[in-house]
Amino acid sequence: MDKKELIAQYLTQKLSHEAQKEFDHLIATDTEFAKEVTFQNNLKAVIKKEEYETIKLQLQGFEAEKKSTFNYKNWLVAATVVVLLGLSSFWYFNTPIDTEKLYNEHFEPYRNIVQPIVRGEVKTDLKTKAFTAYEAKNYDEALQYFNLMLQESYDETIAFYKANTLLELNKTEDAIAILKTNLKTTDSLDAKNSWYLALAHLRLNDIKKAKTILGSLNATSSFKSKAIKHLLKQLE
Amino acid sequence: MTDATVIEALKNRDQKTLKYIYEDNRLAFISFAKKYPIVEDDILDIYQDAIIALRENAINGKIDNLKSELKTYLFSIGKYMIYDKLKQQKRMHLVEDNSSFIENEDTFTFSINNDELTSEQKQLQVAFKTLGQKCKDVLTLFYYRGFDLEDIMNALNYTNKDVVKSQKSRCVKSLKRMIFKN
Repeated sequence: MDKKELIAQYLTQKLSHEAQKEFDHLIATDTEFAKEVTFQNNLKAVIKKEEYETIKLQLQGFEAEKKSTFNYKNWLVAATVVVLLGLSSFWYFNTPIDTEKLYNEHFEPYRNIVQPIVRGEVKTDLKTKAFTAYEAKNYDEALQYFNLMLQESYDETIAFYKANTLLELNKTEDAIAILKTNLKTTDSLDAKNSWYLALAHLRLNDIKKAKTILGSLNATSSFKSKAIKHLLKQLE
Repeated sequence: MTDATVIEALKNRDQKTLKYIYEDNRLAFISFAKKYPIVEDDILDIYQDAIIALRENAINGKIDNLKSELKTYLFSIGKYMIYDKLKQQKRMHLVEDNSSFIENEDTFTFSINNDELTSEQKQLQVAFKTLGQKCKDVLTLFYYRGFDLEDIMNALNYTNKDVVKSQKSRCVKSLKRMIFKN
């Protein structure tokens, strides 16, 4: 039987005894097939979860309606609250999100975890010089050293610190280009690259892009999860 | 409303019926659940999950031939979920009591949907949320309701099965593009 048809029958639990045998054989011997089945199973689970969340919200809505059934006196209080909320939300919704402020609140250059700097020790290698300048917040100087290092050989970690440096120097678009390049390959720096990429977009007032990145980061990584949730709320 | 009309309406995702059945059984369920050592917030949470499981089984056709009353069935699901909760809290050693689970096994299989997704699935969920409504509809009918291409064509007023087929395949491809881009 056609592999697609087999998977479709499996998903709807309509496999015949014979087809089930064929299915089991393919799962054990054909990695592409097994991968496809995992994907389809995951998709099914995700859609089920989406349905669950949608209906749960509706039911919670019914519950909230119930709880808001007040007597007359409470209605007066409620009406006052509504007017006050209305007024404040008028101000709230008419106040645009101050992205620069949020950026400054959340941005701090990633700490040096590459090259330990020992005060008083004199080392002349490029890496030490670069990170000494970085730690001392001499970002112009740090940038020059990072550039020299990257010319010698390209290294994603060094590029990541260069991006941080560029953000400090207000060269946001250059920083974005580096972070995006870094994200094309998968490695342990991905969450950090994404975080700074989101902040960079925020600084350029691109709330939509920032939110998309933060949303996916929130769902896939635990890095800075508190800050990410907080920022997502601030961007609502 | 008779049980059969409620089940039919739930299948058609009728929100008024969902509200009707929710409110119609709510108080009775709360007082039933208070027999157990469980706080009211948890009771409501469980009640909502039981309603969701009931709706899901209606949609999947599992209770088309329900022999008991719908209310009894709902309470059986709720009771099972309460036991499950108490077991989690280790407040109860469950002595098997299937007295209220009167239906056959298939009728009484339901999923507790609040399981956490794996990180792979979470990534897929993020991608799914970004799809357009058309894609979401086609994929939901296929993967959640178990519709085949012809059913989807009728439900969404497509002109023929091939259009549905290529639409579905486009949607799956764009999901894969999003999650396998690295």
